[in-house]
Amino acid sequence: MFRYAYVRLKDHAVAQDIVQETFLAAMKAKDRYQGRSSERSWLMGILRHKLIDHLRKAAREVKVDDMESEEFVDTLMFKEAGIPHWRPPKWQFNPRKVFEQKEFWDVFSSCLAKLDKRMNLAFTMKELEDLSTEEICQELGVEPTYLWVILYRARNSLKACLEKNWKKRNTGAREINAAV
Amino acid sequence: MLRCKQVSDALASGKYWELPRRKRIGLRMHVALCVVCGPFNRFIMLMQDMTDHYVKHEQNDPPPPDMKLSEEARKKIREACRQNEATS
Repeated sequence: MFRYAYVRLKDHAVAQDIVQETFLAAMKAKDRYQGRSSERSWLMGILRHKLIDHLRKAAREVKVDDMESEEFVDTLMFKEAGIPHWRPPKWQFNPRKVFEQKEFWDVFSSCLAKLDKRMNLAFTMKELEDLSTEEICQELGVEPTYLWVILYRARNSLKACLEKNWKKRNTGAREINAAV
Repeated sequence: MLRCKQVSDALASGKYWELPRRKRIGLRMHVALCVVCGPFNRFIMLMQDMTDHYVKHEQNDPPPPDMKLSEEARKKIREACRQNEATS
C-alpha cells in the first residue's frame, strides 16, 4: 500500500498519511465489508479513492501555465499532426526483454517517483489511475494537446531514467560477478 | 486507411488494447509501416505496455526495501488505529 501511494505521490510523509487514513476509513466502514473481494482488494480500493482525491487537489495547486517554447511548438504539432516535432531516441536496451525481470520494475518504480511534479501528476492520473483526458485537463487546467506534450515528456524522462539506472545496475552486477 | 492524426488521437485518448479489434488492426498496421508517426506511436504503445506490466507487478510482487513503510511509521499507524477504536 505504501509503495502504491509513494510512487504516485512522490512524498514519504504524504504517502504514510494516506495509508493511515485508509486504515482509519476501513475501520469506520468495516461493517460494510461484505467479503465479496479480498481484504487486500477492499483496502486498495479505499486507498485508491483517497489517492485520487489527493491527486486532484495537488493538480489544482500545481502551476502548469508556464509553457516553454519547445512545448508550445509541440502543442501546435500535436494539434495539427498528432505528433511532436522530435522523434523519441532509440532505446539503449530492448525493454521488452526485461519485462520478466523483477529488478527492472524496482528501477521503474524509483524512476516514476523521480519524475517532476507536473509530469508525475499527469502520468499517474492518465496511465496508472486511468482517469479520462477531460478529467485530467479539468484538474490541471490545460488543453488536451498540452496534456499530450506533458505526457510525452514524462515518458521520455522515464525512458532516460530507466536507461541510466538499468545500465548502472547491470554494470554494477557484472562488476560484482567479475570480482567473484 | 487511418491518418497519422487519427492514430495518435486514438492512442492519446486510451490504451491501444482497449480499442475495438477492427480499429486495433488498422492502427497496428499504420504504426508498423508509417515513417512519419511510426517511431513516435511505437514508443507510446511500448510505454503503455510497460506501464501495464508495472501495474501487474505492483499488484503481485513485494515492494523493494526502500519502498516499504518504516517500523516507526507502522507503529504510528497502529497507534492511530488503536486511538480511533478507543474513541468510537
